[in-house]
Amino acid sequence: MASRSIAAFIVGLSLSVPASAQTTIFTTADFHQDRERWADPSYYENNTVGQLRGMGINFDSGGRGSGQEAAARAYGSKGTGRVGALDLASPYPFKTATEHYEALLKQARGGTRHTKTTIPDWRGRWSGGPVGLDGGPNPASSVAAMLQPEYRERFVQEVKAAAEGRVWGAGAFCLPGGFFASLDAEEFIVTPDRVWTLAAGNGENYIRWIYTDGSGHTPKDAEFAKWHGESIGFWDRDALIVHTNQVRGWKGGLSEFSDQLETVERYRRVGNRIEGEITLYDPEVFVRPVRANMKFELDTNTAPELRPLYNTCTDTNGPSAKVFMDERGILNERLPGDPLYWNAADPHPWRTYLDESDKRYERYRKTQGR
Amino acid sequence: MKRIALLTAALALAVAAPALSHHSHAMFDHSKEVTVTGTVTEFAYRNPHVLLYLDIKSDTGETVKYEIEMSNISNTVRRGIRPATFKPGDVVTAKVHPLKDGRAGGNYVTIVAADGKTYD
Repeated sequence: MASRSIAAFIVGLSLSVPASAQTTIFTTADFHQDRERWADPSYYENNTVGQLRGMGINFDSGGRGSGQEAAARAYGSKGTGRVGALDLASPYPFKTATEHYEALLKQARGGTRHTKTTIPDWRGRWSGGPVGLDGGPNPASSVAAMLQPEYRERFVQEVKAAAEGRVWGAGAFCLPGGFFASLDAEEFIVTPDRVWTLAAGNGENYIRWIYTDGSGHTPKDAEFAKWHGESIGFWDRDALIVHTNQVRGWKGGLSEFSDQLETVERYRRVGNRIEGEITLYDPEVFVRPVRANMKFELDTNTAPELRPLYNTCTDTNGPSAKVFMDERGILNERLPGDPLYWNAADPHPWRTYLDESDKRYERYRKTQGR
Repeated sequence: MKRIALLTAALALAVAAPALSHHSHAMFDHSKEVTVTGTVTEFAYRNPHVLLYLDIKSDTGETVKYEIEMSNISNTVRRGIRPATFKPGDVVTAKVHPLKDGRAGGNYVTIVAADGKTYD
């Protein structure tokens, strides 16, 4: 009874505070203290994740932008996010990806065994991938609500920094894009016992091997986390079903993901589209499994000069700072404590970056009298 | 490093075509458009970003090396810019969104090549 009274008091208190007076991600003195507001759309002034990121494009200039910067928005402006516009929660009853995959395999009566003559034709160059995994038209609170507390806090840190023009991007540091970047396949090489997906990112190329020969995953004692995980699959008539595990935790999708991430994907060609979905199981990060549509469009521009390329980020961003030439002219390595040392064992380099960025920005704000 | 304030500059409406970037563009000031004219020293037709280097003259007559960051190769091809579009020695004029910190670099908006053709 007492707790109900307290709850009623708190609700009454929050209702009595005008929305305009409530702390937002733009007005907070310390977002870490706003835990109870992180899943509230008003904390983000109803902005979507995309709109918050757009504010960072021109943080110091009132959000003016055009052309490739058309997403630019004035910092702190109100957004157009609609709660429930996109349902990120998986509608399936499964608790694990394995359970999900096994159910689909059973439903397909063990899968369809294709030959070279019956295998679906997915030739061509495609453009697409998961749709709305950053929350799409939902306010950023919808993404926060799907995350476990530790990851929710990191999500808020990241979108706040992004709105202020402080952005960590794997590619900017010549780091791999990780599993979610590999989902933006441009080519599907389809054979009866294996499918390859290929993509030519600007800074790196992506490849996935999907074994459809029934050989299954590697034995448990040989498992380890890999950038794109390990994928097996089967055909259900003309639909490809994929189970991926052993994914190396990184940044991407909703926010971050852990080594526990496992996914089930489904792909099917419909005319000049490949349509599908992906379900994400990562209890370390998500409060419940997440689902998103996948969509790929056939690129009809087949000009030879637009063929995919092998790319490496270092072509314009330079080589690693880990190795350097010392004063003797000898190739040497930087060690912990050395200037420009980069910790290869840091599992969350974006956290290291954002924690340092928060400190530097705070100091900068003070010197600027902001 | 020379301040962009030293360079011949002009403000105008920004015009650019859509492009995907592999890093944030928050380092560039999109409220400003600066015009730089200079001699091409190198055209790096590479991913993730095509880069154009110019030698330009500052207001004090010094030669300053200016880096113009362009889009990726795929987008650059779609705009009609080829590996030989800009050659060392060409005099070109570019409109860029300058770096916010004032160093000699910017993100390209349009470039007028030596033959007078404008690329955006």
